[in-house]
Amino acid sequence: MITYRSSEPEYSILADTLTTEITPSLTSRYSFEEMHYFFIIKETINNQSVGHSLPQHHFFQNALITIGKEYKDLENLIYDLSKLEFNWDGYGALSISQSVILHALNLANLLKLFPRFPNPEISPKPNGTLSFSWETNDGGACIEIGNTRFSGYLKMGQQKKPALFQGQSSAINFDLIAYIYSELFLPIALPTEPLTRIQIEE
Amino acid sequence: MEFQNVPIEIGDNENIVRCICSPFHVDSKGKLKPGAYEPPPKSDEVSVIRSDIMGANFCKAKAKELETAKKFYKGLAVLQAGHIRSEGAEVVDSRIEYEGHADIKHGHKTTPGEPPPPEIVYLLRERYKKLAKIANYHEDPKPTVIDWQGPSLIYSEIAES
Repeated sequence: MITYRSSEPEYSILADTLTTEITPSLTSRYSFEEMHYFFIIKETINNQSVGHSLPQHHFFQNALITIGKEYKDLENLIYDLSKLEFNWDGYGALSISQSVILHALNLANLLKLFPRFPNPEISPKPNGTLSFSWETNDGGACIEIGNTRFSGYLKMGQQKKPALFQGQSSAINFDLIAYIYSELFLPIALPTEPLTRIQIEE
Repeated sequence: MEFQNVPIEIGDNENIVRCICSPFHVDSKGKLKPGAYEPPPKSDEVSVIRSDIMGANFCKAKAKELETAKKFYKGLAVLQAGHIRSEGAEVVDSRIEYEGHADIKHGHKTTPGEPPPPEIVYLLRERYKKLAKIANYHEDPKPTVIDWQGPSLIYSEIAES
């Protein structure tokens, strides 16, 4: 069975409903009868194949996901931040709610799927949200997670305006993380059009 | 000079000091973090001190008042009012708090538990980063003594420390 993740809630499908094509990059390509082609990056967790969808133009070579990289540091940091009490900064900062922590752990789990994705800097915000940010020489990205909503942006050096994204915190998904990863950390990323709705300010 | 004679307007060249405490204003390398210029919840204001008028010892005394069991005074960060304004914020006298007190006003209040819209996240984060980057942050060489014994609190393009 393959667990298929997309911008929709996670669901499972039987492998025999797919047609499979192995590409030279060792990444498997599957197609659904009712959908266009997707590339699905495969990995094995607990002897189960797990796949993740990418729109075709998200495809990049050498991006085969492997497992085993430890992200315990990230998770431990999030757990530590869950212990912050009211007024942790001495200026009346709010504690980080359980909802925010759960959404943050979900994001950390998504990051596990990208072994080459550097760990973000995670900062508690005085209003009780958590900020995940990445900086490179070419740009930066940030996702701020709240109880019910998230907001974020990705700004590359050559762009005049950042790509902006927002939504329900529970909707932070693989596609958004893949978009940030491909833009920030893949040197020859192909033009992307993620399933996640991206708003670019005019 | 009597404080009531101090003009309420803050000139662009006036030095403005932010009290810096660990662990949330400085990183593990002792570098100023963008969060040093982030306002508390439901507010758009960051407390600062008009250091040219009040002097370094006053700034240090106010900073040490902020210490709690989990928040430790580390030093003072200096900017000029013009720097703050050039990043899109305002700095205004707020002597109702105490003489010499001023506020950086970012113009965007946060909603408890929720992030601002993404364009505001971007705008504010870039602003906090820039202010933290250009500020002269002086870690206090002798934090336990009463007087300030660090560098002058006059902004320099090339910080002394």
